[in-house]
Amino acid sequence: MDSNTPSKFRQKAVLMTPDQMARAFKRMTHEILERNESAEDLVIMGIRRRGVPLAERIAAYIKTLEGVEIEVGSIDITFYRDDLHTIGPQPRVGETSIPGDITNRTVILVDDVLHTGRTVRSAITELMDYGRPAGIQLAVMIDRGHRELPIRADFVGKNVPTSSREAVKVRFVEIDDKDAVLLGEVE
Amino acid sequence: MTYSRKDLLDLASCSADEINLILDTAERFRAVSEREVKKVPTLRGYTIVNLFFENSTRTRISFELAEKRLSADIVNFSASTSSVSKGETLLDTVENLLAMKIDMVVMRHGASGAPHFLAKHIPVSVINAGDGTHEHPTQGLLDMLTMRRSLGDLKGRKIVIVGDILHSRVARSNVIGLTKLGAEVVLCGPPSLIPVEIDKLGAKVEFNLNRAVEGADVVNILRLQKERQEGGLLPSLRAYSRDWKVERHHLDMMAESGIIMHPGPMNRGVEIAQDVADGPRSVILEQVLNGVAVRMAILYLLSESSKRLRNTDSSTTETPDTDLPNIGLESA
Amino acid sequence: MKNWSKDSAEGRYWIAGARLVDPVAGTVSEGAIKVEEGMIADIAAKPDGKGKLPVLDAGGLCLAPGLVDMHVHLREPGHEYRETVATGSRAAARGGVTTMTCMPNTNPVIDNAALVRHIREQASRAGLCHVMPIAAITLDLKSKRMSDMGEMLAAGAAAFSDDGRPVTDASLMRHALEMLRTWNALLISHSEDLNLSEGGHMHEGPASTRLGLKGIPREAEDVAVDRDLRLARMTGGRLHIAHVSSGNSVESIRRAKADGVRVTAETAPHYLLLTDEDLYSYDSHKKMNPPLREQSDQDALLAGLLDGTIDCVATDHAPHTEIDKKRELAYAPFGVIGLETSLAAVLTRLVHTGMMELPRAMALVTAKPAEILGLPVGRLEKGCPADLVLFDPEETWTVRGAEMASLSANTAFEGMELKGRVRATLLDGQLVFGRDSDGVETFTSRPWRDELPVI
Repeated sequence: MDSNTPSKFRQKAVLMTPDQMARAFKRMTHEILERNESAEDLVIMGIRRRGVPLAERIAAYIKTLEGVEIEVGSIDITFYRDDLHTIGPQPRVGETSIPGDITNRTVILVDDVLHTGRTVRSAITELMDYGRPAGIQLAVMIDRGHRELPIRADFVGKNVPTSSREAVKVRFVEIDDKDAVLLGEVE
Repeated sequence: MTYSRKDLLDLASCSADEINLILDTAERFRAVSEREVKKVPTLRGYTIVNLFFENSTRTRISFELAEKRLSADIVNFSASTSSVSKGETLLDTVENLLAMKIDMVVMRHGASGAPHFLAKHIPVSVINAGDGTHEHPTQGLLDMLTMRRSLGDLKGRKIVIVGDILHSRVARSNVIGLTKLGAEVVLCGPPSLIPVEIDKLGAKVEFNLNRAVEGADVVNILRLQKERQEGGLLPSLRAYSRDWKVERHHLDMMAESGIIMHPGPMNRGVEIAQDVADGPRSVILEQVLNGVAVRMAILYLLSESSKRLRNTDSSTTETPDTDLPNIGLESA
Repeated sequence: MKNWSKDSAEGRYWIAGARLVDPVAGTVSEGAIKVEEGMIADIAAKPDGKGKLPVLDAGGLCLAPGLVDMHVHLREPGHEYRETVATGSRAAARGGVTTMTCMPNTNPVIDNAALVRHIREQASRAGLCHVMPIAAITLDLKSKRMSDMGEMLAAGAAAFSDDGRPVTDASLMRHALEMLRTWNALLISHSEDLNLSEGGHMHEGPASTRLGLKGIPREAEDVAVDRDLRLARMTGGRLHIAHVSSGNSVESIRRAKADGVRVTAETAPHYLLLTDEDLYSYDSHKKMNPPLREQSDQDALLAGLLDGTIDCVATDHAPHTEIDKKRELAYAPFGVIGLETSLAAVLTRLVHTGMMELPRAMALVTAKPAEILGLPVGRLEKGCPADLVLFDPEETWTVRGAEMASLSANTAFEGMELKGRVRATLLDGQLVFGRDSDGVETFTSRPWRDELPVI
């Protein structure tokens, strides 16, 4: 068990290998470029923490495809969580860094797993406090269902039907020393 | 590292790790104050009372802004407009407020230890906004944030505090907090205004201002209360200024990147020369900006205990949203 | 302790199976005591069997003279919501105290013969403890005019003091000491320099610096003690220094005694068990004047008790209501209660630490203060009043203000574990307080007709 996995997570299966992950984010990148005519108006914002490496990989791949340097930012939604009243000790706050003005630009919001949709809701609210983007699109590596809000992803690496007792963990080499998507149970 | 206390009463009870956590968190909130929309919904639904038994403009406004930028609802209460002047005790006053479902109390009080007394008797968070001549922990923290932003790590840095140390809660919080972060603190002022055995708190004492500022990374200048001339502590303001006013030539004696600080409000020409207050080394306005950020950080970190209180009220325990990213809950 | 109440009421009986603590002889011995008409009629190894007197079984507990507390505030008249002579007497009985002298800083001040009589009568009606008022040195404690001390002495005053305030006028202090030589009467000094102590809330030292509270330096006590010692030397008057808390003052008193100055001194239990560091929680129950000082002062006080520089221990029992004490430390009044904890505090600090033998420690709260006051009590001798305390020196208990018999609960020892507990108190041979092995406590009032001593 790797050090970043909470002890409560009991791994059952490997859902994606590093190769599969690479193919998935490359396909998503192509879809993003197809959907948005000009890459220059894009800003890619990764949701902390594991949306950030995915956002960086997408931006890097856009550069190799189009030769365009895309601005990448990160967003920490702690201040915007709707469950601060109920979770344990106050989470340590990460940094939100917005590259320049997002008004009238298209923001690609990137996260590792889409579940209830509450994180995305928080991120959208936060983005709106920084400016008025022309549009926000959502890219996720895994969509595991169980939505509690009317939110859907525009670009999905893999759809994984899960039960509510299960958990999906996406691992990135930048944070976790390896690439993997894991399915497990939580107690 | 998490902050799991109910109150912020003084820096004496905070560890270096806790101080650093508050300062790190304040950095994030500082960014919020620099945005177009300077408000986050973090404390939506919280009601905070600002209890000011002593006049204060700066600290009260700073707390008020911090609370508003966190979306909390606030009630301001000052002694002059309250029933305190009719003989009501502190505990009566606060219990009345709590009956109206207050989540946190920010208190400025003229008696040292008043927030400690209050915190012992009420279940909600108490934040000390200055108690008598004891501590002013949020000022101490904002001073440290300002120093850290200018100088980086404070370990081994020479910090000089000049003025009426005896009556200064700012000085106490600075001494206690800074020594915990490994800084070397030197206190300078008239001997009658230096408290007995202050060296036991880890500070050095140097009565001579020229010697004190030699090589200093920070000179933090305290406000001299005009009343100190009475009671035999000082002959006159003039006598004070002659020996302890920080002037331009003192700047040359400091370290090259040394900064000038003052908690405000300043008596220009008494404890600080005009050109020092407004000079390039002065970070006095930076302190004000950091004050809001530090107070936001403290309110945020302490909101957990009122949270715990709410949860025990409504026995329902919701499971955490597993969709939420793992935002650094692991220790740093 | 069955039948103690009934049999002691008979007036003639034996107490047997006791460990007799004689503070004057300095001995502890197995033995029996015969009580007759409120006096100790005989001390023997066993009851002699003559006259078929009832025999009360002490069950191996310690029997000592009842405590003499020479520094108590009973708050009557004027502050009866804090304590009265009656409630203070109950507290005394529960604490094993059989004689106490109460301070005159009441409202009105006990500065005339009528009030002296009034306090004595109130005490005789309460019937639980001998109470003698200490009368004011100056009218209304104002340090302006001397009170009529001769008349108050005749009315039953035990000594004279302006306690709560110093006599600020050194000349007036001089003349008071001179005047009292007429009757060889005692002046008890609250030695404090009010300029040095002004505005202070606790001892001035590292703790007050850390807590940001204005301090009362030891020198506020020391310079006043030095002045009073000079005046005692000058006048030949009998001076007693109340509530000594400073190590420097102990040294001054030691030197004065060596020089033959007629001076005695007391300290209080809280100075022996607590220090200024106990105020770190801003607990107003640790606030009194003079304040709790540093460890070095406590060490000097203990040394003073050991070498006799400090003659006795008195409680400075100063009741305050919860409303007054439950507030910001700076706004809370000075003072703590002590009647119900003094025996246990002395045993815990002095005897159970091995610092002193039991009889010697008991002398500090019995024979010594009685001797200073010139009263024929505090001794376990044939012909002395049968004012007795029966206690278990080994019982540990936790101090709870809420359980006190005093009207107030402001003990500085709240929550502390003390060792040594009163089981019965006898006043003039009659049981006034009893605590059985199940912890059930009974108070029995024995009112008497107050007769004035001949002076």
